[in-house]
Amino acid sequence: MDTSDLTTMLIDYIDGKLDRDQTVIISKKIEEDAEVAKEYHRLKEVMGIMQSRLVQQPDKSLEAGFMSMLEDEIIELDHTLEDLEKSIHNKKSRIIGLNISGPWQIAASVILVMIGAVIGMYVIKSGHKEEISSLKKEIDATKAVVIRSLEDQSSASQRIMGVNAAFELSEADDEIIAVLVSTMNKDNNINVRLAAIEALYRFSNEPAVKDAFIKALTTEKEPVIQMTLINILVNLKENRAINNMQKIIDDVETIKSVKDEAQLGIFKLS
Amino acid sequence: MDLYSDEEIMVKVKNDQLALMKPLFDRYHVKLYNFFLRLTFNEDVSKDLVQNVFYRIIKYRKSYNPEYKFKSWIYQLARNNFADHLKKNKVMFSDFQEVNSLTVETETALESLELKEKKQALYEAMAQLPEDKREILVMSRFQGLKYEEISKILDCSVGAVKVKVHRAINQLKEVYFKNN
Repeated sequence: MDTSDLTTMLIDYIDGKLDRDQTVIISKKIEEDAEVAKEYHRLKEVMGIMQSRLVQQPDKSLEAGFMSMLEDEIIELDHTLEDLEKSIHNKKSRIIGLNISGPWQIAASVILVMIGAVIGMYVIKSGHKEEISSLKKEIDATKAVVIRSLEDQSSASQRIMGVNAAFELSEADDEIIAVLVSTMNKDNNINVRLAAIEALYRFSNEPAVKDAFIKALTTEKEPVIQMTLINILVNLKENRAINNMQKIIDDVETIKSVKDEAQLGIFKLS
Repeated sequence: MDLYSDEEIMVKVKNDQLALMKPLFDRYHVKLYNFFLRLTFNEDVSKDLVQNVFYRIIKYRKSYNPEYKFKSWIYQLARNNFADHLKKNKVMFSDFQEVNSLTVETETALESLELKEKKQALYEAMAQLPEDKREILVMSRFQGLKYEEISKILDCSVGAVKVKVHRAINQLKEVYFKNN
């Protein structure tokens, strides 16, 4: 057995990786040969020190830096989706624009200006009452955009745009809240669901919204949604959610990060 | 028990569910931090390198192959990251000042003075090893990775990993006893 073979055997011997016969042979060599014994003790010392692995914990700045980087990346992704949506919209507009040209385009412009002038005169005449009515129409139109977009199951980015349109509403009615709650709970795309939660959060002064958040926590299984809901309920100081957070902690299927978040949530709400 | 495996979570991240990077960060950041700490002997550099690994995961998420073990993939990214760091900084470990400060901080009050001195000597010997040997020792002995796992990270046979680990241990032993 040459030196390199012997070293290999000694390392395996210390690691407990030799079979019974080989173990007996090496034990005997260590007992009988002083040089082998010296080599064995040296290797054992070095390997022993390495085995006493010390795990050093990084300070909190690492996690804070990671969270900030993650947040930036999520925002960048959202912007990319928005840009994609705009570019699709612009292409559509260009295609429509190409169909109207020459004298027809001039005629269409003239008609549009005339309609504008007629509407303008009508608005000036109709006064305050009509302004309120037009504002209501605008809100109804926004509502229609939100609801129609959220029904479009073929495009997640379309639904995100629909949810974002809800941000233009200064107050929400039962219909909008019901649609957003349903999106939060049932949409197939997690980014759409997160956007719905964010939109609902704007209307969190409504008791129905708070109730929906608390209820969602009992059924939700997606970790990122669970964590978002926990954070929101903590921000809203909703101590009615403590029991549901405890259930999340007790659930064997909950992942550790969510359990930690729930534990922290209970601590803050208690 | 966690609901999702690393691979299942990474598939969701690949499909743009970026917020799910957090559970992966929770599972791996301490391991990676210690991996880099044993290679660089510098806490700030190690934190930057860990952050960069997670940044690369997000940037290259579309290239993740779900049939590939996430653990192997993240260590490959960590290795490449460390190699880039060396190229940029051309760090030489002839000065043990940082090694000293690192080991002093990792000691516990219960350890004997003798063990403290031995650990100190071992870190100094580690710092004198070539990069590839130091790296394989960190993976095998400090990170507790199995030969099979290392073989996937290094893209070589299990037998070749065993030979490399044994050679590294042997060289570490030589340097350690030469210094003392």
